[in-house]
Amino acid sequence: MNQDISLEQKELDIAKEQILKLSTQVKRLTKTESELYDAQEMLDKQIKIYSELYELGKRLSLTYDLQNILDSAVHFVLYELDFERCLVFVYDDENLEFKLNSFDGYYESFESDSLENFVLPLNDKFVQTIVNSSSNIIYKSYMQNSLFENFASKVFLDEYIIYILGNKTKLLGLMVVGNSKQNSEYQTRIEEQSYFIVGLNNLVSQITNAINNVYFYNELEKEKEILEDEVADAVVINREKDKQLYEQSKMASMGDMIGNIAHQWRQPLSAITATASSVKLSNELGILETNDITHHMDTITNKANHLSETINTFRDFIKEKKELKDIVLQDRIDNSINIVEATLKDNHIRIINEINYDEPINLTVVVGELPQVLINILNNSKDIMCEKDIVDRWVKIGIYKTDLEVTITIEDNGGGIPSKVIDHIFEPYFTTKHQSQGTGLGLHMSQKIIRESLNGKLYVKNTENGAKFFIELPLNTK
Amino acid sequence: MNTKTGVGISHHRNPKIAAKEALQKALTDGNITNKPDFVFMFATVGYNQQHLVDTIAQLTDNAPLAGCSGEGVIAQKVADEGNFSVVIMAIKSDEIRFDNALSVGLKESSHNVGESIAKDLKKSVSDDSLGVITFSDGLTFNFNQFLDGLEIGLNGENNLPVFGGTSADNWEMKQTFQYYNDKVVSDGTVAVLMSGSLKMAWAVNHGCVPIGSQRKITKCDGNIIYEIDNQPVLDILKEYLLEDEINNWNSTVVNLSWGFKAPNTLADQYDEYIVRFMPAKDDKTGSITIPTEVVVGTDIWMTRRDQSKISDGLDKIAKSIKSQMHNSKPKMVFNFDCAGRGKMIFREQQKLELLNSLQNKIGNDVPWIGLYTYGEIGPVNKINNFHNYTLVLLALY
Repeated sequence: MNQDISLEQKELDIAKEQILKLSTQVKRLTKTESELYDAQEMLDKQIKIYSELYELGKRLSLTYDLQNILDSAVHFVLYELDFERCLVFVYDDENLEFKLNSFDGYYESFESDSLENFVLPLNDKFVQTIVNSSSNIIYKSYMQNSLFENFASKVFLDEYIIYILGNKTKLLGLMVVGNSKQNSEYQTRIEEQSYFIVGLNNLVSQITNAINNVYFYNELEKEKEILEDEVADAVVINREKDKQLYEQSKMASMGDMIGNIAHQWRQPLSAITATASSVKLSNELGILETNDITHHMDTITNKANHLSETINTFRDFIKEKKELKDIVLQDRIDNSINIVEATLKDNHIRIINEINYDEPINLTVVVGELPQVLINILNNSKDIMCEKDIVDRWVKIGIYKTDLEVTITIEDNGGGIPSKVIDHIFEPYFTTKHQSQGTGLGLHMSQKIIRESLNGKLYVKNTENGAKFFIELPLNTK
Repeated sequence: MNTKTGVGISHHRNPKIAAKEALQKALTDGNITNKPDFVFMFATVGYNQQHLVDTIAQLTDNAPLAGCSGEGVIAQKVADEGNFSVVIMAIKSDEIRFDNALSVGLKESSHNVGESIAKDLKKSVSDDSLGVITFSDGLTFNFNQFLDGLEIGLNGENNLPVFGGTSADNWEMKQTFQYYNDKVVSDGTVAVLMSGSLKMAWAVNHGCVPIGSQRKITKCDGNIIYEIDNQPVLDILKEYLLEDEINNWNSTVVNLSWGFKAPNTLADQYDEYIVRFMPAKDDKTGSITIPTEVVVGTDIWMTRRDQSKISDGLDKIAKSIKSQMHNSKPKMVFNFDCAGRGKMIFREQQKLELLNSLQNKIGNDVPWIGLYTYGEIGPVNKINNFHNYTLVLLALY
């Protein structure tokens, strides 16, 4: 009997022990579950913070707007990290001070009013302490630090963490995050060992990079503006140079032209002089017949008219005012040929005119510019053929027309342009002539006139005979 | 006949701006261009509560308002348990009327508060009265006493169904707030009598399961339990909780609750157990407090929340509401969910997915307002009941 009781007691004790063990296991499981829920909640918060930080980073990488960056930072501190207040100062390196740029959170109106235009001088003792510290600084109201406490009262915070944006050698700003005592109960508290602070550290890193990017971008923009100004100045200078080049070229062309006119006028002037002398002598000898007078006067008149025409051509050429005029291309080429014809003849150069006069080609061009080009090319042909002492010299002039354009060709039998120089002949100041003979501007200005003023093209090719210049002009040139 | 209802939410840190933002969104959402007939507002406790109601009163030309602080707020696709959230429902209707009343002093006598509320509402009770929504202080509320007082005050008229949630303070367990027009109070109840031609559909479901064996209450007084199985209740708790958990009461109370066998009249439509959480313990008297009264001899179980039961329960709620409404679309939905069923048990995404699933079944464009509470009120089988770890969903259609 006693043995049975003892056995029962033993089983009861074992059962109680098992219940106790089970109870402990339940407690531990329950606690583990509770901790799991807590961990889960914290994990969710961390995931949310890092997910939002990632999104913020993407947004910041797309903006160079400093205000947008600072406002985004403040918003993140308040709405993702759940601190009550955030202030961002931007460093002003001209005035050596940090200016409050953005602040938000729940402020009473008198508080926000007093923060407007808030400035921290760089030489302020508190600022120097922050700048000289290597990391962020945390202040809580129980700390005995009058310097930090004084700043706390100025920005209406009872606990805060302050970061330097940038570093001691390149200050960008300050960011202050914190809470007031009365409203901190439901805010994220300022605590060193907190994943919110880790999130804040990451945010500061992102913001610093973004601000740096803005400054780099602004510097690049400034450099770009300076370069643009320099380019604009250079363009003005170049235009002035172009103008001078044009004037030089014009003067040179006028020199050539006067030479041509001198040649051209020599014969009619001699004829007029001879006719006048003949009339005078006949009169003195008393053999002057009335018919002779009429004949001689007609001769003089014709020669004078011819001279007058060359004056018109010359006048058009030197006209300062660039005005558009409707012309017949063949006439304009004839005028130019007329100007140089005498010179060419004097130099034993034959003009082979292959121009088709049956179909007049109408163009609207700036008067005087096309003859300048034609005369320049013809003069160059003359010079090169004389220099090379070419036998049986000629220049061939033709016109070829398509629906869209007309091409004037001028070919000589001067042997062509050496391949070494053919790519450079349109460059300014490039000349193969003797210094006294050429300025090196003629072909450069000719190409410029054809391209910019007549919207055409001027180029050269060597043929089996010599050089052949092509002047392509659009038929709708206005 | 027309009912315009809009819901707006804000998370702005400044209570004045937050209230203004939420109200403007609600008015826009409801296409309400003039003074709303009634405003419901729930907010979390990070805000200066008085600034919230002052702003609404000012902007609505003192439209009548009712609401309370919650552990979080709920709207379409939103279940926000942050410290700074405010949700507002603005209503303009000739189909439904809302009459509100306020009484303070729950701790001293929840019965008197119920009676006082009834006295105020009685003059507005009519043949078309539908029910009462109440918002009571979740820390001092005794539901049984309150209901007694309310029913006595109404002289048993109409046997109106009572809904609602108790106010919360994000597990601080210090002070919760009730909103009545431009007033903010604590330890009070704000009640809203609904009358009109709209109909109501509601459903109630909790998500707790028992752990351990059956126990019996052996000493209690009203809603205070001293002994279970002839042992001090705090010693009994030590069987389920480690010492540090008992000391850290606010977080512990979320995880464990008591379950009572539901009467047969409830069990069919509800669950085998009625759940009660323990908002307070008293080390001096060695007692715990629950929100409803119990008697010696009551069987009691320890219970814990269960994710899959909560999830299944939401499906049941959706089916029940849909079945009651037939093919009608709700004109507004009130969502009273337990604070212990939010982020304390579900991950953020999971919580939102469950809410979205429920809203998609009932109507994802329906004006929807709610809060996370310390206690839920909703009738089961025509009997007004208090619940914990429960969702009470009320649709007006």
